[in-house]
Amino acid sequence: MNCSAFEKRIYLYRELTLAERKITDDHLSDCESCRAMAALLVQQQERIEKAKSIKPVINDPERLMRRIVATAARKDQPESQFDGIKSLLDHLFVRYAFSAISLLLITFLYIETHYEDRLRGVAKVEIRQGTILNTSNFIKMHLKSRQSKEKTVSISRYSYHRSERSTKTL
Amino acid sequence: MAESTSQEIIAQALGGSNEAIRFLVVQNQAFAYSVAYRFLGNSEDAEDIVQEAFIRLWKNLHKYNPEVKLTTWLYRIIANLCLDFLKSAYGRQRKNTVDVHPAVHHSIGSDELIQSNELNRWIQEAASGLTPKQKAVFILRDLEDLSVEEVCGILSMSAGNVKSNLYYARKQMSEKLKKYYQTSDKIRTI
Repeated sequence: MNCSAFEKRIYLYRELTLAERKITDDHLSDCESCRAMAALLVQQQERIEKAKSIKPVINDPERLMRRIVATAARKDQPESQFDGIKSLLDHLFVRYAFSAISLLLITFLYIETHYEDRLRGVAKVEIRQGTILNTSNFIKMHLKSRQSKEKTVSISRYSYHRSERSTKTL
Repeated sequence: MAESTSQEIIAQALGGSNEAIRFLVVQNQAFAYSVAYRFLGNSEDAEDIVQEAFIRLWKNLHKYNPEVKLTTWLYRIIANLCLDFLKSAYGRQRKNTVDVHPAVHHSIGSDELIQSNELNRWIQEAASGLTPKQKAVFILRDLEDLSVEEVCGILSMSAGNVKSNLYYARKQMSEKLKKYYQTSDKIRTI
C-alpha cells in the first residue's frame, strides 16, 4: 500500500478496526510525510474538541417555549373543510396528477380543434361541389339511366326468349 | 415530573397532558437548538427548526418506538429538517450568513472563551462549504460525538456512505483550518 491509500485511513483513524489501526500505525512509523499529516490532524481534532465544548445557547428559551406551545395548540385545533382540501392539494402527487390532467386536456383540445377544422374543410368542399353538381339534377339523371337500363334488360330478355322459341319450332 | 422516566412522560404526553409536553420541550430544547444551530449557523433559522421539530415530535408521538432513545429520534427529525432547509433555495441563499453567537461556558477563562468562540464561528464558516450530507455527518460524528451506527440510523445511510462523507468532510475542514491558523499566526506576528 502506498501513501495515498493510507491517507483515507489516517482521516478515518477513529473509525478503523484494531487490525486496520495496527496496519496504519506500522505505516506511520515508517513514513515521515504520513506521520506529519497525522500529527496535524490530531492537533486540529484537539482544536475542534475545544470549540465543540462551547454549546450554542438559545437567546430566550422561555420565548421559544411559548412559540412552540402556541404553534402546537394552533395545529391541534380541528381543521376546517377548506384546510383539508388545501392540505390535500399541497401533496406533491396531487400536484403532479393535476398537471398531467391539465396537459392531457390541452392536448385533447388542440387535437379536437384541428380535427374539426379538417372536417369543416371537407364539408366546405362538399358544399362547393354540391352547388356545382346540383345534386337534384344528378339524382334525376341517375334515376333516368337506371330506368333505361332496366328497359334494355327486359327487351333483351324478350328477344332472347323469342329467338330460343323460334329455334325450338324449327 | 422530573423524577418520572422518559417513557412515563411520553405516555402522559400521549394522554394529552400539557405539563408532560412542556416538560419534554424544556428538557430537550437546548440540545435541539445546539444541533440545529451547528447545522445552520444562524440563531433565527435554528429557532424555526427547533419549533418545527417539536411540533413534528408532538404530532408523531403515537408512532414513537420505546426501543429508540427519544434524543435519537429528535436528532433524526432535526437532521432531516436541517438537510431539507440546506437543500432548499432559501437555505442555499442563507448558507453564508453565520452570526456571531453568544455562547456561555463557565469552565474556561474569558480570553480562552473569546478564542474558542472565534474558532467556533470559523468552524461554522468552514463547514458551510461542505455539501449538506458531508456537513450532517461531520456535525453528528465530530461535533456531537455520536457513534457511526447512530449516525447511520439518524441519516438512513450505510456505514460505507457515512465514512466516505466523513473522509471528504474532514479533509476539507482540515485544509480550511490549516489556512485559518496560518493567517491567524501571521496576524499575531504583525
